[in-house]
Amino acid sequence: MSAKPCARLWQIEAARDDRLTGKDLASALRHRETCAECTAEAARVSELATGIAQLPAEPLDAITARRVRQRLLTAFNASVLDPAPARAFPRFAGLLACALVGALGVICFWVGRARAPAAPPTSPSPAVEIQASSGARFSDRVEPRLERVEFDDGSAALTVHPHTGRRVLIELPDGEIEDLGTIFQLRVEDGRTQQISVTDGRIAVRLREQPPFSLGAGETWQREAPRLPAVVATSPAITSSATPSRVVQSAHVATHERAHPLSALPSPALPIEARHEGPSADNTNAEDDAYLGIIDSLRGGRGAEARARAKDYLLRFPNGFRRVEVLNIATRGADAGSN
Amino acid sequence: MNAKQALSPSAELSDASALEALSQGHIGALGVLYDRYQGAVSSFVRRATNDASDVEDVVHATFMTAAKAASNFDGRQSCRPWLVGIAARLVHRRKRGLSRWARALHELTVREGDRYTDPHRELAARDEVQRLSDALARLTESKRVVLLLAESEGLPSEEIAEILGIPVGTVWTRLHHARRDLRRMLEREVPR
Repeated sequence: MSAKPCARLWQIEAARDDRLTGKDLASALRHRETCAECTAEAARVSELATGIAQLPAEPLDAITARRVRQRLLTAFNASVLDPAPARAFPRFAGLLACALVGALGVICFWVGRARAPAAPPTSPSPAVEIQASSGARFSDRVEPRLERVEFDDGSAALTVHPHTGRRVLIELPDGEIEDLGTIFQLRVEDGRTQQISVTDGRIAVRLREQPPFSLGAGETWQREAPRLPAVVATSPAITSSATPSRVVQSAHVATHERAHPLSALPSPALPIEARHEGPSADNTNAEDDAYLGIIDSLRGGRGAEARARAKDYLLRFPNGFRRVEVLNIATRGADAGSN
Repeated sequence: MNAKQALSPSAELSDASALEALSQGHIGALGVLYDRYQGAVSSFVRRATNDASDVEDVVHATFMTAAKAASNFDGRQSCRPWLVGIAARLVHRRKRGLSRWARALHELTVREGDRYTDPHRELAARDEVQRLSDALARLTESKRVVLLLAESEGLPSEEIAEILGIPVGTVWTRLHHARRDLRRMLEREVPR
């Protein structure tokens, strides 16, 4: 049985290649000091670099070097002494080409203006090609230095074409993905990223509640799904129509017709007091407090209290932002209780 | 220091002064720079192209290009990275020629033949340096050039991207793939 590799292993190369700066770099270096796996990886990368730097490469032998030197100086001398024949034609051709391009440009401008008077202002062409499923919500903003795709919901396959001097950032409700020249698929549901699959290249993923990680070609990341049946057992108000296996096994680009993993959460059968506290901005603090209370109980080793608080949270905030995690906590409690 | 005055007597001329003199047409400055850096440039080209027959031409073209672009030198302490950058660009461009295909095919045939017929080569390949050298030679040229610029010449990723005219993200990707491929090849060849 092999242990799971350290999730921050990629940072060793990233730090070496100047991909990390500032706080990220400092954090990676601090982590490396404490992680045996990362320390070993750093040693391997460094050893490889040293090996490459020390590889013997025979320079030109003395006679060849002398011959190349002679040829070089002769060629340079000729170019200094007699530059006219070599340059006259290219210069003339260059001027002619410039004039032709200019004329062509003017003609195209006038023709284009005559045909399409209401043409939109020109902007850099997007580097990201998005093939989204129906109902997906996203926007793409292209700036000279940055292309920003805000992906709010749904699933899509993204192809990022080479983009000189421009960063491509996919902003998710719960984090972001930085593309390093790639083709990948993405699924976002209910404000959370559910799955990322990379077909080609590599992407850097930074999600809240997750350490940053990168995905290469053929790799897939999937959010852990909640175990629903146990909640059904603990709370009669919660009814489920989706089985956990369907949720967990949903792989690759999903369609919107698929059963939603959170469709099992309560809404119509809730007590009256539960309906008072929807996911409005006024309740944000209360919701956070309730969630922190659960975490506090968990950290304090008070499992029963945490479970009770989790159930209370689900009743008070049926559409709360943390409901999946809380559901998980409540479920774990139910499992433990049944054991 | 006046570049013209310093040219004739000594080899202590700084790179920046030599390039300044070169931009004014002093042929001696080109000789000084060639003597100083032909070793580094030819070593890089030999490793990067994996093709000894091209080294002379690329080294010649590198110094000729440097002579023409001397006025663009940014004045840093050493012009080695700048020269190596020019060489890398030339290596990058050179592979676009259609004639490369024929020559590459010929090289491949010759090498495969060598690999299986020459026992000395087989023995030498067991040496660690030779293994690394062989593995490096088996990388694709685009990965090898980026890896050499980063690890052998110590250039930062942004500079490599600028030299090769590719996005910095591509440099990172190629570096990662080059290291991964190299490690796989070395691990596969460890004698058991």
